[in-house]
Amino acid sequence: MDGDRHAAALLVRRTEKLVAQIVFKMLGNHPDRKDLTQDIYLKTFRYLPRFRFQCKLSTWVAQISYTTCLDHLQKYRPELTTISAGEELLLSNTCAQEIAGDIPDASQLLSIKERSVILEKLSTTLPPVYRTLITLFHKEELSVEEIRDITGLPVGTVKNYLFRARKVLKESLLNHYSKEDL
Amino acid sequence: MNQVHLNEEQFQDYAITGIADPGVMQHVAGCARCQMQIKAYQTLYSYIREAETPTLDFKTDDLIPERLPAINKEDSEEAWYLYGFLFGTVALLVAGLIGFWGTIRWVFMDITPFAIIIGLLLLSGILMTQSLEMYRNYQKKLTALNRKEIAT
Repeated sequence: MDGDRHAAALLVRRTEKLVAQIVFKMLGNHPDRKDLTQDIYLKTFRYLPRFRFQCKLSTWVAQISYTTCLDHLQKYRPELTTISAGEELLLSNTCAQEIAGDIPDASQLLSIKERSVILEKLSTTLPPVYRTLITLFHKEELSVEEIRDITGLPVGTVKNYLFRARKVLKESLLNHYSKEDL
Repeated sequence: MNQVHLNEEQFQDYAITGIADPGVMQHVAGCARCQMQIKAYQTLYSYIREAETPTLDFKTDDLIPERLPAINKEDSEEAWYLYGFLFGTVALLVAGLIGFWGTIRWVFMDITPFAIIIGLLLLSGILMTQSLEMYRNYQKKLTALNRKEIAT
């Protein structure tokens, strides 16, 4: 980077939304968000000379973001990625109970903001890694291979986590909405 | 009509792609249960796609660049150590060659023109390979940099 503040600012601007997605999905409204984001970019600039152009620069920054958040979470919460098959049903039911009454009927015309709130509530009970994978795949439209590069998880595991996360979220939706509402 | 309901994986894939075997599609067309499951997944996917992107409540580009010089200083110090080592090594070799030329000149006296040509050819080959490698790396970097970054 050689002190090129303009290039640094450009890199930050190009990647900050992706970084924000990962930080928010992994940590939620955690008070350490600001420090962690700073840490992510400081690592990025420190290790930039080691970037070997094997992937997109944004994928590399996302990889640093993910590992930094994961390291931070592992200090406080050991249960990051695991939900058993039995827990899936429990999660979707708990989630549906928690959100019941907060969510307007789908038959009403929902704004994007309202939909975001619903989704946020639906995904609250998912482990942070599941939330992040769902966002990277469906929202950021990254391929499974790119997600593998970011998270370091095998492709099979990424697919499995995506499958389970979608299933939990879908069950939560169905628990709340009737067929006609959908 | 195919009476077998779709499994969970098929629901998810169908909701994403809208494509399935003709038998499966025929079943979905006539099965309210499967239609509801697919509709639930489609609703979920649309919620995720349309969800607002979170924004950090502080200005990252103000937060980061002010601390860059400190990082770059560390990096440049490392680079200077490396350059210093390389320069020192070359200087020692040249000094040794000059200082002990009288003692070691016999090594070079017996070299035949043929050996010199072979040596030069080898050296040229190595230089050309290195140049090609550098050019390939340069092209790779350009390709990676020109690749469209994620629209964020």
